[in-house]
Amino acid sequence: MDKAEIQSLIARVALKDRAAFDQLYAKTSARLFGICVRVLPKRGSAEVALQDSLASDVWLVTVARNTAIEHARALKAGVMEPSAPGFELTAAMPDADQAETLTAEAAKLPDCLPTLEEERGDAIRAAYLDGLTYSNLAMQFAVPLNTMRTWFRRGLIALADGIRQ
Amino acid sequence: MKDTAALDELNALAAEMALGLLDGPALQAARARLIDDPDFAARVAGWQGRLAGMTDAIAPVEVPARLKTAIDDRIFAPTRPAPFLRRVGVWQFATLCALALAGGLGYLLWQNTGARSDAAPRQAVLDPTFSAELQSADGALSVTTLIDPKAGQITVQRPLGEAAPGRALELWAIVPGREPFTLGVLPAERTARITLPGHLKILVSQLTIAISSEAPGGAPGRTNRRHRPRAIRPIMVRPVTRPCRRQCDPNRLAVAIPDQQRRCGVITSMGKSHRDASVCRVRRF
Repeated sequence: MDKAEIQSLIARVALKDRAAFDQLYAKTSARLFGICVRVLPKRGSAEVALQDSLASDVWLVTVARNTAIEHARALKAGVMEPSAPGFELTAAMPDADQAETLTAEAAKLPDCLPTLEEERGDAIRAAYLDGLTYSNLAMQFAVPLNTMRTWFRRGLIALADGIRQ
Repeated sequence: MKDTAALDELNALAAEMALGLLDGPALQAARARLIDDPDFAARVAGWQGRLAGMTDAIAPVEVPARLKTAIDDRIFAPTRPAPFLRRVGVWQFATLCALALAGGLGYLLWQNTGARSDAAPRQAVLDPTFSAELQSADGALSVTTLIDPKAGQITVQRPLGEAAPGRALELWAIVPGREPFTLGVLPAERTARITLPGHLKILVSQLTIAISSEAPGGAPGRTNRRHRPRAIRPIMVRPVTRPCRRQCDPNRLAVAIPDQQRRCGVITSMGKSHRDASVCRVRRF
C-alpha cells in the first residue's frame, strides 16, 4: 500500500472527489474490512463499522479500528457511550517525515510484541484488537486496577524502547 | 527539560489513551490534557500510528459489493441524480410502512410553517435528517432531536418530562475529542428550533447530543469562549443516527423518520439496511 498515494487520495476524497474515492476504496476496503471483521466477528456489525469508517475522511486504519471497537463495546453494553475510551481521534494525519517514522515503527511492532515479558504482548494485543479497558482486564485477571495498570505500563514502556532500538 | 521517568510516564499515558485503556476520571483527565498539551496529543497520534502495525497480520476480507453502493450513497448521494431518485422510493416505502404501522395516527411533530412551496415537503423527505432520541434513566424525561444538516437546524421535541424544580435543561453537542458545545437552555415550550453553528453543521454525522441539568442560566461560563466548561455531567446522552441507516437495538435506539406529511414515528425495529425498509416497525410518539 503506497502511503503517499493513499494520503493524497484521502485528501481528494475530503473534497468529494468520486474517482478518488473509488480508487481509495479499491486499495483499502478489503484491508479495512479485515480489521472490522477481526474486531466484530458478526458480519452485519462489521459491515456497519466499515461503512461508518469509510464515510469519514480521516486516518483510515485508526478510524476502522476505533469505529469497530466502539461498535463492539456498544453491542456488549447495549448502548453507545460517547465517553467510551478509544472513541477519539487525536490528530489529523501526521506530516510526511512523521508518517515515515511511524510506518517504520509500525512495521517493527509485530516483532517487538512477543519479546515482552510475562505475556504483556498478548495483553497489549487484546487491548488493541478486542477493545479491553484496564477495568475489563483487571476484572478478567482478578487483580486491582492499579496493579493491572502498573504491570501493563511496564509492557508499554518496554515496547516503546524495543521499537526505538 | 523533562527527566526520563516523566517522559516515560507521559509516553505510557499516551499509549494508554491510544489503546483506549482508560475510563472514568483517568480518561477525563487524559482527554483534558489532549486539548491542552500538543506534545501529549502528538504522542497519542504517534502511538495510534505505531499500534496500527498490529493490523498488518490481519487478512484482508473482500467487501460485499452492495456495501460500496451504500457507502457511495452516504458520501455522494446528495449530488447524484440516480440514487437520489432511488432513495425517494425507499423513503416512500418507509413512509407507507410508518403510516400503516402507526395506524395513520402519526403525532404531528414538524409543524409546517406553510411558507414553503408545494415542492417543499417532497424535498423534506429527501433531506438526510439525523436524529437522537434521549431518555433519562428513570424514563421520566424524554427528548427527541431531529437535525437537518442542510438547514443547520435542530428541532427539539420534549414529549415527556420537565426540568427539576429550580433547574434548567441545557442541550449540548459533542464532537469526539473536543469539549462539549452548548446549544442553549431548552425553553419551557415542548418544541424548540435551534440553529447549529457553522462549525458543527459539517460534523452533524459525528455529533453526540447530551442534556444536562443546570442552574437556570445554564452551565457557568458556557457562553464565554475562553472559559467554556471542559466537561459536563449529562443526565441523558445519545449519538445521532440516520433514520433506517444502521442496525440498532430497537429497545434502546429508536429513530424518528419524517414522512411526507411531516409526521414522525419512532422505528421500533428495522432491517439490515435502509434498503430493507419493509421490516421497519414504527410506533407513533
